[in-house]
Amino acid sequence: MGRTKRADGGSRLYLAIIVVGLAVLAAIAAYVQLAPATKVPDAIRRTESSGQATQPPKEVRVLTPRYEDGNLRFESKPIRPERGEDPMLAAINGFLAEAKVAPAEAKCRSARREGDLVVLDFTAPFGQTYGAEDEQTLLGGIAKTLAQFPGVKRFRITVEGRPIETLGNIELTEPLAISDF
Amino acid sequence: MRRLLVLIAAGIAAHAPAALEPDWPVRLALFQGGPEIQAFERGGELLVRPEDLRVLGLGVQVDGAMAEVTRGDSRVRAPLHPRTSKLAIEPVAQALGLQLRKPSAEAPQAALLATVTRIFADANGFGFESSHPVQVRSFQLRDPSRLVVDLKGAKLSPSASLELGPGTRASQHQSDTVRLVVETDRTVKGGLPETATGGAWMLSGPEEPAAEPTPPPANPETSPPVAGPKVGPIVPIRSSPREESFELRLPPGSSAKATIERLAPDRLAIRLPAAEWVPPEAALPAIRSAETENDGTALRIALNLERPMGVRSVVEGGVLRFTLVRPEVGDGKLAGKVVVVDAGHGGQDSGAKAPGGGVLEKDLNLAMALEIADQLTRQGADVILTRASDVFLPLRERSEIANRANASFFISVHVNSNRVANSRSGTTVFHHKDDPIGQLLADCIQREIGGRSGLPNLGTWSDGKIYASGFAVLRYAKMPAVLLELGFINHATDLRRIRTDDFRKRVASAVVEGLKVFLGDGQNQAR
Repeated sequence: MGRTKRADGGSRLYLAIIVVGLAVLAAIAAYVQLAPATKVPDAIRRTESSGQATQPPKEVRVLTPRYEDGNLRFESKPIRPERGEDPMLAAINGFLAEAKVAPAEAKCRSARREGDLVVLDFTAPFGQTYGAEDEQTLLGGIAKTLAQFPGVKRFRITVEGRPIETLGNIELTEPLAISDF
Repeated sequence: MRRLLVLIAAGIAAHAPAALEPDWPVRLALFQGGPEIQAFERGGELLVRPEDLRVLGLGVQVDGAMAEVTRGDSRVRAPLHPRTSKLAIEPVAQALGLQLRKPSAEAPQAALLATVTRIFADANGFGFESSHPVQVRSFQLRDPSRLVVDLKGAKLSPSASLELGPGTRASQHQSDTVRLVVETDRTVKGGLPETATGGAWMLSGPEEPAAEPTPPPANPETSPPVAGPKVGPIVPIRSSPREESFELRLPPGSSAKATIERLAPDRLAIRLPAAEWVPPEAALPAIRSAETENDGTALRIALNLERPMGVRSVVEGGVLRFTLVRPEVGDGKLAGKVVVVDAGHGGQDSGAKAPGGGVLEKDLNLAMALEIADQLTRQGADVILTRASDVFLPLRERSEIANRANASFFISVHVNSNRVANSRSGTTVFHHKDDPIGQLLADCIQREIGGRSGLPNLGTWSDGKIYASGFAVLRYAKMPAVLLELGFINHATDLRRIRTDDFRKRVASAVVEGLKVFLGDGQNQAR
């Protein structure tokens, strides 16, 4: 008798776990299907030369900056870009969101590869000057974010398609070398 | 009783954060100078091969994807990184009561340190308590007579109980050493152990009434020589009107630990592992005198210079080579010198903004630049402002103004900001890369700002620390040039202070005084 009760209880438990699991999977599927990929509009989510829009997205790492004993350090976490979203843009915009240095509306619009150079074009709110530590955080974070993409050695920043002089003290009229950060 | 700690947090840490770049090798020691192993910096985290921890005296057992680390009565289980089978050391260290000192520019070696939780001392004895065994070293110093006890491999807890009578003091002496000083000529009764987790010791001789506290000596003392390897003498190798070069042959094995640092504009210190100092037989050019302090573990050679000078140094083949560089100062007077003062940003370029956006960096910079210009002018300097109103100037044009005027100095005025409001406070002066004269000017000015501004002194930085090519205005300037970062605009205390007349007047007077020290103008030459 007692054994039968335990067996009945176990069956119900397994059934409940299966039902809850299916419900969670359905919710995730609905979210993936319906939710916006990020706050970046669809129109600015592709890298011009990536050709990866139809490939399964690869995992990229998003950096979070922090100051420790006066030294800038970065932690990273993996994210999987949405289908159709360019991994480089996902990583750069993920970093901007984590860093909270630039205004929340500031986004990277495109990342154009030219050999070992990447030209990153940002929306207008990004184009301002910052204090020295914030400038270090932004440029250092962008450089280290790009370092995860094989073959990228230099980057240039434009805002709304136009070159900018600086984000504070570092001249941006020439490409910056990733290894210099 | 043994404690068992399963580190879920460590497990998350070992799996979630990871790297963009290959593992970055770092040396990890049980304490500075103690046994050491190879660690790997990865994504801001320090990883080790678990079996290597045995070299540091920790017990280790690897069981599949987990490692069990023991030290004393403490035991920790932590997961290994799934791909590398390495162990994140920081959460393990914390669980064992050790503190991880991560590598930095100042101390490139990482270290695991015990925590000192209590120090007590008076005229008749002393003691301490610590989380783990530390190395204990003691020695006597003269003028005034005092007993020094160093606890190596230790960090003083911020909440440590310090029960210190008159004539005694304790502090974090070096990044891995807690120092206790008792002003006495007595020795420790029965001696001290080599290592201890704590204890109490009496001083020899009859008990004495507590003495009045004595201020520390203004200059480093010369301690009696100790047996061991010899170092010295410093040998002059090259001389010119601008530069004096020297060589110092180092004892075997000490090259990696030899450093040279500035104590004051006209005072440098060479730091080495403990050695017997061999003084030079004849007077050295540009160096007035040398004083040594040898505490049994390290030797400090303080060099008093004939005037504030720049310094370049390199250690090669067991030899420390250093060059003292005389700045070009003309008649050595501030009066008559052309000084370009550059108020950062301006016009459509507002610079950093205070929270809420009401206060703009460009306006703070201009107010400060005008005050600096005013005080310099009153000293007889010929001041050129790159901007005297709210107008925009390209970076390169700011330096070109100084270059066209053949200025003696270029001083750019800024206010800093950090992404986390109220997280960073203080002043910094930047110089260009490793230029010895720019570095000297930055040191001269920041030393004065640090003492007068009322904000924390964050020291001098090379702009190469931000980006290898440095800041544009410093790179293009052809004269000694510095960039002042005068507080943080998004730190409430800093901002309140920055906006006061008192702050502006004090910083401006500091800039004037720093320039005078650099030039050797007046009585400050012999500081």
